[in-house]
Amino acid sequence: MQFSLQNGTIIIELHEIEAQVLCHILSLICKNYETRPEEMDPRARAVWYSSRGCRSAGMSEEEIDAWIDSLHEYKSENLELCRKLRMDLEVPAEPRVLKIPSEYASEFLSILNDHRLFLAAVHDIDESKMEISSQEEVLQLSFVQFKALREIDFLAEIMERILKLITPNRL
Amino acid sequence: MSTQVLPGKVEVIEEKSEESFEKNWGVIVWNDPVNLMNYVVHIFMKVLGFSKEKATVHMLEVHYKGKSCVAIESREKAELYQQQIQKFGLIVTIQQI
Repeated sequence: MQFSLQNGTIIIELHEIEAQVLCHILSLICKNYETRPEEMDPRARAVWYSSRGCRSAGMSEEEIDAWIDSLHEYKSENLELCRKLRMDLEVPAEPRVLKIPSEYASEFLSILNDHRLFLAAVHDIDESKMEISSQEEVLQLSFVQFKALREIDFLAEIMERILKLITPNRL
Repeated sequence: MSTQVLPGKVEVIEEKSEESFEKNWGVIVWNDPVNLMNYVVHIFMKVLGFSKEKATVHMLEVHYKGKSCVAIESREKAELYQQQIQKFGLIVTIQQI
């Protein structure tokens, strides 16, 4: 993948297989954004729509429900960007190109991050699995966990490259 | 058509208004194994208006100490920050300091 910032637009050039992987991921994200919180996998709901903060603030159940609805509305607003980018990726070209206006960078990052959180939650990927480095540890993962970790890392790379573009001199 | 204001309802609304202006509510961001450090810095800069340096200090506090109090505000503002930060996938709570 190649990343550049040109005239206020983030340009991502992807090889065919990278585009297919990202397109597939964006499709899954769109599907999850279309799902009401109460219909989600409970583990995913717990990370996307956590009410921990609401309870610490002493909110009532009604206020918590309103809070969650508000969060869902925000994610639904990201759905349009997600769908557009998925369609852009489907345009035949080599390399495939994504163009994201830099004012939408934070939204795009949160879209990718949402999926990382989703994958970690539903596939029981905890801190120890996030820090796996040896072949021996990798072999102890289930196939779905291995695949999920690969996607988590793939999205992390995209996020880090974008963050490097939009905020120079990062850590 | 006349409107009637129910005394009990007015009392509840007044209480809620007073609560919103209560001061010294801390916005606490918690560590998690998934969110990237640079992403957390970005969110702190975007939502809280921190400089990169200040955002980095708080991010490192979250990373090494498990949590960081990133703002102390009125309850209303603390709740707003909580929602804005949570939208980006960080774990955040508020509590009276």
